[in-house]
Amino acid sequence: MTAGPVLRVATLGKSFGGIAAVDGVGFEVEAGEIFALLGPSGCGKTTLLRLIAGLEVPDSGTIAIDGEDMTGVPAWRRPVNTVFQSYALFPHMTVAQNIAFGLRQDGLARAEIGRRVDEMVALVQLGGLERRRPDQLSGGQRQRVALARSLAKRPKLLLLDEPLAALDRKLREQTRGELVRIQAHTGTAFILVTHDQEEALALARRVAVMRAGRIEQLGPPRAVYDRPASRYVADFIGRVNLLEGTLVDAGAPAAVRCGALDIVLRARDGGGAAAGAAVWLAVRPEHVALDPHGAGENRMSGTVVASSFLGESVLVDVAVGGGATIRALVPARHAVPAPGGAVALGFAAAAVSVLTR
Amino acid sequence: MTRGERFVLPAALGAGYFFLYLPLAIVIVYSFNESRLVTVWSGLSARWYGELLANDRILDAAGLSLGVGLCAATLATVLGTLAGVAMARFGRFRARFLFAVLLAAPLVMPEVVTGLTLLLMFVTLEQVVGWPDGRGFATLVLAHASFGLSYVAVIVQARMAMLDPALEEAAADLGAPPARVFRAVTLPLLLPAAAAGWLLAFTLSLDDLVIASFTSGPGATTLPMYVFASVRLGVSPQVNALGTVLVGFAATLGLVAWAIWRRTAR
Repeated sequence: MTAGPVLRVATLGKSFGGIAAVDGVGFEVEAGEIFALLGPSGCGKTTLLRLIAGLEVPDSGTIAIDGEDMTGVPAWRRPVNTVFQSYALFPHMTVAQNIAFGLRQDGLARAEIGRRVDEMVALVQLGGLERRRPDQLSGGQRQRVALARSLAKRPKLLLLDEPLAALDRKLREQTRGELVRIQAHTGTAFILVTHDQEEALALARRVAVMRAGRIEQLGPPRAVYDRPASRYVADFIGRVNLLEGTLVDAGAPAAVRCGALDIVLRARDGGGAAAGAAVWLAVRPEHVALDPHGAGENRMSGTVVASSFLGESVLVDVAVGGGATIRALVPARHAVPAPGGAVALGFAAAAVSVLTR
Repeated sequence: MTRGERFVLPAALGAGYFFLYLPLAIVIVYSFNESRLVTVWSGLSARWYGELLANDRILDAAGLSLGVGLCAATLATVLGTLAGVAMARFGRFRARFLFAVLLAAPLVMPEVVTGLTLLLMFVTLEQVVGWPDGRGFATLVLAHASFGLSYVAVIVQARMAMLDPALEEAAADLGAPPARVFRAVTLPLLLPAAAAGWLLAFTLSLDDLVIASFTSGPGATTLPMYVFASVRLGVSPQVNALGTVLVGFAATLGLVAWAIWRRTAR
């Protein structure tokens, strides 16, 4: 099998003690892509990963890898490898022995194993550390050993469980770049489990946002961010202003009467809802501009309630009447009125999504 | 630290050590006594060590104790390790509670009861299946292994609980079937615990008097049984010398076990 998805999961279900951890999940992963499973802890993303690895047995559904049904196949016969969150390096083996472990299970010749280990050590830039033991390595080095060990068998699909969570912020950004470089070099499809939306958006070609065992939305990062399918997704990925209202005109642009503000706001489109339906409007703070830079179809005025300086930008809360507050994220180089000051704000209809759930 | 603490605490500690180790110190000192009378000091001598080496019955008893200890500790380590792994990794298997109780029973059961039940079992077995043919080395090994394995299981289970289950999952994920996961990952990581368990089972076997008295037969006298019997006829200074040798042996084993544990705990 060369064409076709490297992984196809269908109606997969798994519950623990009557509580569904994975509930009827289905998706496909294409060869060579980075696919992220994103969600808060307890949403079932790690269980889903363990089902694919063969470390858990599903209650229902099927898992096919490279076109072959793998649902009942134990972990040690599946052509996938995993980078564990704790890295799970064998403490009684050296770096080289750790990397060679999987190759030795395949019964490769000694010379071939040595060659492949050298290749992996070079790939993850661990030259000179081959004879160290895991407890003599830094966190970042351990992460790279775990990556090399699981890539040594040249799997078509690599599963990564929170691979960057144990690293500090600076190292995390650096390692993110490393992951992309290594993935491009090997052409292996990556499934990345993470609770960090920034990590998912930066790394993945497609993102599946999970909630309570189900996939809430699946798509490219840009689409998921710009056109969230629900309030949950909009809220989980990035910051968002949510306003309740009634759809007046379902055209493009659409019109929504916003109850609290008693004004009609313009949105990109009706989001599939019919006129008269109760909907929510979602607009990202960075699309809200403050005067004198304010522009767009939707304009209103209010009072600055609070502002927090975030470095490159400032997050400003503006009370716009009716008990509603709209957050704007403005570049720090712009002047921001002090709390208590009156300000006008505006955002374009194209930046507003209509959500029905 | 108050004045009271500065004096009371060291005094309490000293009294504790004094109480625990004074009898041992007396045995060791008097083992170098020249006199035939155990309680009368007459001069420094190593003569009782010489007589000890010339006493065939003591040497036979020591040989039997060492042989039983080696076999029983090894058997206990194999079975206890398997039991410890089962307790720590097999989840809630059927009759797990019963298994846990049976495994812990020898730790809390009075030795007299353990010894008696083992004796009754060996006698019944002999009548029903014709084995064991009388009691001696084999029954001693089985008896000592049966309580030694409980200690090994406790130590192995504790070590197992400290191991990241992801280690075994990673080995399986890399293509190792269950038997090879155990041999290549689980067992090497358990080895220090199993070694410490072996040493403990060996020491317990060497020390045991009560259970050995029940499960041994004529012609098979372990070292503690010999010492106990000879003391009843009056204490010979040889026993002091023997006691000193045993203390030295036990202390060495204890230090080795501690060193193994410390090396792997870091």
